[in-house]
Amino acid sequence: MKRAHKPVKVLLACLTAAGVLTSFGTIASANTSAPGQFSMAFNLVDNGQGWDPALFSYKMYADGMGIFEGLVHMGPNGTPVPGIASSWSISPNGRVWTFRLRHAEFSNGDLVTAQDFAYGITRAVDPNTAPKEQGNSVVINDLPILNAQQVRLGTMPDSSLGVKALNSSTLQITLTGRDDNFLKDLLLPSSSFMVPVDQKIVEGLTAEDWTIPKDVVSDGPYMLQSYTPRSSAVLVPNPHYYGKVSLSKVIFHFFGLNPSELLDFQSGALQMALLQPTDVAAVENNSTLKSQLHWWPASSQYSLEVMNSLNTTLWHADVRKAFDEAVDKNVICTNVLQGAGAPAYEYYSPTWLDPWITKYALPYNPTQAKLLLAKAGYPGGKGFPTVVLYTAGVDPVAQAIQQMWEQTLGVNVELKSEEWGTFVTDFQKQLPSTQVGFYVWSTNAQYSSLMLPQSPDNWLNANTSAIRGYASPYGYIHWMKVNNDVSMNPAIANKLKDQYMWNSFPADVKQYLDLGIKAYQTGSKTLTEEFFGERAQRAYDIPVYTPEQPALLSSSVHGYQQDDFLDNLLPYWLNNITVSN
Amino acid sequence: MLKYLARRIFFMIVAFFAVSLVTFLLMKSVPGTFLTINMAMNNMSSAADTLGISDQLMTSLTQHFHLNSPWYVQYWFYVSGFLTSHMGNSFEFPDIPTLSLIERTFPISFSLAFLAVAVSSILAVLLGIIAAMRENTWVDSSTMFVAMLGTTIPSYLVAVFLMLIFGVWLHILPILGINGPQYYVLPVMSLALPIVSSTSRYMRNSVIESLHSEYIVTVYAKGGSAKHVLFGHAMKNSLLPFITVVGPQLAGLMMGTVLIESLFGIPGMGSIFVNAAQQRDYPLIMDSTLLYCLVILLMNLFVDLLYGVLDPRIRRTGYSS
Repeated sequence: MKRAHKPVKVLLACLTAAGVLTSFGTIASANTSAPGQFSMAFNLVDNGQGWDPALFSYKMYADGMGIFEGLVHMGPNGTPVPGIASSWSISPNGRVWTFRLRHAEFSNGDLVTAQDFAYGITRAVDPNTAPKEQGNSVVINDLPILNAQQVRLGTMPDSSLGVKALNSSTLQITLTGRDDNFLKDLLLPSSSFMVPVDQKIVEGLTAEDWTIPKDVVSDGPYMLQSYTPRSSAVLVPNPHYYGKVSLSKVIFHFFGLNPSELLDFQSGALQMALLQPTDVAAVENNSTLKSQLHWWPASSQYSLEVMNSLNTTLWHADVRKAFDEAVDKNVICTNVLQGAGAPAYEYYSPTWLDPWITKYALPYNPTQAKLLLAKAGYPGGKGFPTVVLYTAGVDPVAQAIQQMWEQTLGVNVELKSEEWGTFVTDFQKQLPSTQVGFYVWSTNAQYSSLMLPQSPDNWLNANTSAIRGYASPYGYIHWMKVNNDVSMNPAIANKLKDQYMWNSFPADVKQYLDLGIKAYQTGSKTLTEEFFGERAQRAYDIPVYTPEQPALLSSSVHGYQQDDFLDNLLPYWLNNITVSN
Repeated sequence: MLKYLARRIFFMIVAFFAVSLVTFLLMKSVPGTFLTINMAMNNMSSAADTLGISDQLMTSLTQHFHLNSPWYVQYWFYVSGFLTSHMGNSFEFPDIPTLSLIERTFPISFSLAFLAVAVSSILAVLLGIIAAMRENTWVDSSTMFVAMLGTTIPSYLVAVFLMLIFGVWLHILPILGINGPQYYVLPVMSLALPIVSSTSRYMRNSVIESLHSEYIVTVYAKGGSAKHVLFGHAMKNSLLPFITVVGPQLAGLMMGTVLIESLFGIPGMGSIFVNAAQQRDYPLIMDSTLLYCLVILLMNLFVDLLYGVLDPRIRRTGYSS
């Protein structure tokens, strides 16, 4: 009986064919970038919502990078330069800014007017826009525009907003107070709504239309050519743009932090890639990659916030300082994070933004930490309630902190690493009298002048996560009840919540806030520094580190200025970027 | 056969409702709700990354999904919405109908899984036949050794190797996104290669068993060639146990695309499903789970009906055996 050799021959033939095809590269071509073309990972999960700049979504950041252009944009030297506004003047009291617009057109050829600016901004502030479009409201707290907060809360009409079109080429913006950094504020990622939209087009659009490129009419140097939700978007030059457009094509790839970005970069699919810290060793062993490696400071600072508890031991400043000074932030940054972090000292002010904060920093001082705890009545940690430390997911930094506290202070620390949804539920709970606690939280860096309290209510709204630990147990329970009652009128709910919080704060918190309000009212830089320095000194929270993000940027890319206010380090302005061959 | 079909459909309906009820109860018993997560995100200080939806929208979603109603009202709302394709909008993407989200992403995940099963089946049949025809030779052992490697190496490692070889070193296949047929090659191979091992071993053993049967001796005695023996007789009988294994692979692979989608930046349903679970997005959790359930039930039915196609004895007895 003959043995069949055919199956073996077939297999060998297939393998040979695959080898031939492989060696000649005829199967397909990988993503490789053409000259003038820039491809990057967006590193934020695309929620599939549209490109409406009046609604918050991560695509709002892309809008501000070059699809829509506002009054100013980031210049090549890192300062604001004229955008659609060709010039501006400021009133003597620093509150009224008058912008003169250049001749500019939308991507459909319509003229960009001051009325388009006023309409676009008002639409974004209007509280009815987000529910109508079934989206999320943009953040307006970062721009001190007159009556913006009141319009958003619904207590004043849209017409009272401090944004007016004096004529078709002059826009006037009135602020709540002097802000010498207003132009820089306009470059914040949260300010991406400060752009004009073509009113007669936008009024006819539905929420879904904002996901269709041909329906998105914009005034920036680039316009949408294609968009695949949750996958990618392609931008091409806007033929009606007033100036020169530097790139022939921009490709965004939408995904969360992708573990294979290093491979994507090496394959040529990406020209900018954010790395995991574990990729750094491989990059540094490759001389070509090493020359393209950058370390960029990121924005959100890993911090520990105080949980609310029936036990108010953490209200004592000495106790909190003890916990702060028992954390060796340098060791965490070098050993635990492998260099992917820098010590942090204040919740909103990383050292790359406010270097002055280091003079108020609480140093690592285990001896002093023990003394402080003993002074508070807990020598060697004896009698101290159990400390619970909540974090989401696997967190080696929290593990290190647990060890440091136990070894230095002699306290018992329970680390609770939880799944995200469980974590978010549990950190809001009130702890029993046998426990005190911290939870890991982070916030984006911010200009300190924008985080000054204008009033107690305003500060409470912006700092809820940070100060829940300082409300009295009774006040907190009632606050939570109102907070979770979605049927209550929001304006009434906010008022009640503020009352519960404010009435239950200890005196030192209220006194601290007075300093901030004074700093806001006087505009004094000295008082501003003092206010945030006090926060660091009193250890109302314990900032631990600011992430240093390793990134690969192709050597063919020039002019990329990363926005340090965003953790994913998107470029400020695409049109500053050039790509050589 | 119609009786069999009717019986299977009845059991499918029972299974569907059982899965939906268990999913709903599990979902509700997990700590945390979309409300608490949303409230916490809303309360974040003014950072530009707040993703909380407005209070008005939350109220509207609470009313629409009967979140304040008894559990059985909520449960029936989800199930009836799914069955009538009126699933509403998800919590996380309130301006996007859940159906639309699923329409965009499910075909991608399904096609990845389906192609992976198809490719792995072809390879498994090929390798299994080769090994069986060369039983106890070096061809048999080396084929099975290579196939065994597939079992031991997880799909995400296979994916990284393939990306390295074809995307980075050779620059001939794309490794990011899904913008054309060539983008499917590496993800599909990453899913297919690990399961080739187990399925090829099934095929090998099955073919060997068939080849050692007495009726095969008769075929040879009557002058039949090896090709005739294999393709005319042995293979059909060998495919039955093979299909038993392969059918549920599709369901398993659909779950397993999550990591592959993440590695290759593919906008499939896996990542939506994982994210929905994390965010307690009840409508999306329910709808995607029910969809998976339906796919698995239909696949099992298809596999069972396929037995009848392959084996006339089963057809003749009306699937009663």
